[in-house]
Amino acid sequence: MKSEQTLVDTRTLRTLTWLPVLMVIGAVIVLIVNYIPAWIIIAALEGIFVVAFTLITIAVNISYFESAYVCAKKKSDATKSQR
Amino acid sequence: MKTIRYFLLTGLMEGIAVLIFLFATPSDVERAWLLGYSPLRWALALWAGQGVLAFLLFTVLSRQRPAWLTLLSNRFNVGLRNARGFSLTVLFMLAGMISGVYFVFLTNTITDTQVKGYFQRLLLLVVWIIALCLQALVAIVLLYWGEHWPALRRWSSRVGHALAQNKEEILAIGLLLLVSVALFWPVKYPDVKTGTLYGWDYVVHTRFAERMAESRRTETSFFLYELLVIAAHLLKPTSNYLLVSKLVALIFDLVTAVIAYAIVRKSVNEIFHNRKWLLALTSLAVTLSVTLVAPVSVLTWGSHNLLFGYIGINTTHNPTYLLLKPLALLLFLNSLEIFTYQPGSGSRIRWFLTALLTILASLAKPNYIICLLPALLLLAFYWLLKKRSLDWQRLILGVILPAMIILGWQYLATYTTDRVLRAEGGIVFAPLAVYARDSGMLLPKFFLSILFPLSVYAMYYKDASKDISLNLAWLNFFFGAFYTYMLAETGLRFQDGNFKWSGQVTLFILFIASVVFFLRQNAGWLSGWLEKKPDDAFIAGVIVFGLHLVSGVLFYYLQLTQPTNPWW
Repeated sequence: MKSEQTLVDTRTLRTLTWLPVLMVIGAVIVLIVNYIPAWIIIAALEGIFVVAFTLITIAVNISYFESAYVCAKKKSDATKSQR
Repeated sequence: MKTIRYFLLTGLMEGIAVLIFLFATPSDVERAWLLGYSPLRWALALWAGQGVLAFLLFTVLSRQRPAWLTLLSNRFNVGLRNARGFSLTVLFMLAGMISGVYFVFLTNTITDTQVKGYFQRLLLLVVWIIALCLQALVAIVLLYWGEHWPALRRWSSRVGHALAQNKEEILAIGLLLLVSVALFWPVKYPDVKTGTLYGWDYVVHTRFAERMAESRRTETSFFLYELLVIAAHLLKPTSNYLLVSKLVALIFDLVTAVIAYAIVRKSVNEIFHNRKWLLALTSLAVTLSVTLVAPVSVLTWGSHNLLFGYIGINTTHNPTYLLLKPLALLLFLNSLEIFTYQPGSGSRIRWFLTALLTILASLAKPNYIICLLPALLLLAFYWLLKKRSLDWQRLILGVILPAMIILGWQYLATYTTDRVLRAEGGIVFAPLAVYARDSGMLLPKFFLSILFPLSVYAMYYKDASKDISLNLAWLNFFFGAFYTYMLAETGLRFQDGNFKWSGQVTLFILFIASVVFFLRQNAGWLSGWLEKKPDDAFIAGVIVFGLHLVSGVLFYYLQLTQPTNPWW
């Protein structure tokens, strides 16, 4: 039996497979959101947002302060060397 | 330094906006302590703020930072540097916009006062999120403006080019969806337009869904359709449960059409490789034909009999069957990859997606999985004998294990703790008991149901016997037909004839596999069809397919025009 020829290529199949799977996942999320007591969802969302955005803020700040630090250091090094 | 100034400036604006919002927010009476916030919330906010401040001071000021912190900081730097194209900007924007819109929507629509109190507090957070997003957006855009503008132009021209390149495909798929809606929406039961309900299956499953929504317990062991209807109803496109039910079924009709199109297109591509319009339109026509074909019922037109005694292919009256069709087709395609697997190739999650499909197809209607399971085992055994490589992981974890678990549970739930019929029942070997009740001439009707796949296999026997997809489809159908004719349920379910769906869904898949095989067999001749004389086998195949199509169009027409007497 030949096994080379498939009906669709693997990439297309994977994309097509996600189509109904995502629909069902979406439906399950809608159900969960509707049937879990509201305060639990609100608390969870609030928790996720607080944690996620705190982390992002920290990341952004570290990055910018680091750049500022590097810039300032370069400047001071340059001044020192000029002296 | 300029960028940091922008960043800090927007940060200041953000702080002012949040403060204004904080004072403008009405107090939460029940838990109010200071500015309408509960003590717990203040404690948490102070703790979080202190933590962030301490961490920042520590990271910036400390000269002897631990190695992990330097590493973390470097990672962030590298991550930000890599993401400076569009991704970070888009991510920030999307996160902010979506959460902002979501919470504003919820706050305005929610009626529960206690919950509303929470949302009012949350709005502060939303303002902060949106401000943060805008702040990052402004900083990043200002910093990398020079790079963004050409990148945006490159991206838009790439998208435009891709659209222009595939305009035939886009048009064909658009047409397919439009025609499918035009075909399958009016033929669905119940007839919502006039308010009359003819289709018992739609009514039954919609009632199940309504009861499940109320009781929050499963009413049937194959509840996927009900679950989707409940979820769709919660989104409130309309308050009419039956209409929502019809919409869900229509969506899965469209999914079936798209999958069938992808399959057909691949084989038509071998024929009209360089002729894009011809490729797209032929694929469209063949796909629509496949979604309409029915058993060749010419001999029983006189007695107004188009379905009973035959194995239906594209029946439209049962919503769970319409849901099963695309899932079964995808599961069949995924199962084929078990045998075309090359060791070391493929992603790690391939078995996971197959397992998800197995679970969904079983929960939609277990009729397909009970055919696929023995067919796969038989073919795997044959593969072992021939010492060929096999994707064991996908076979066992993707199909066998999830199927056994779900089917075991379904059996117990249906025949021991049934909440619907509250009656004892089981499965018995009863040859023709269900089919012979409604119709005679079962043997000719069986052959007329599978005339096209049978003719294709017979005409191209030598190549057909070597084709993996066609043979797996036939093996599937063998088990489907066996269940259809030989098994029955006892008790009140006997009259439902639930095993019929196994024959129907496996025949639908066999039809698609046969059409694809038939096109591939004639690819050489069809690609130069104007120059050469048609092959006899091709003409015979087209005539037989035409008979199925004519019968299908008549079947469809009668469902549409006289749903009370559709010549079943």
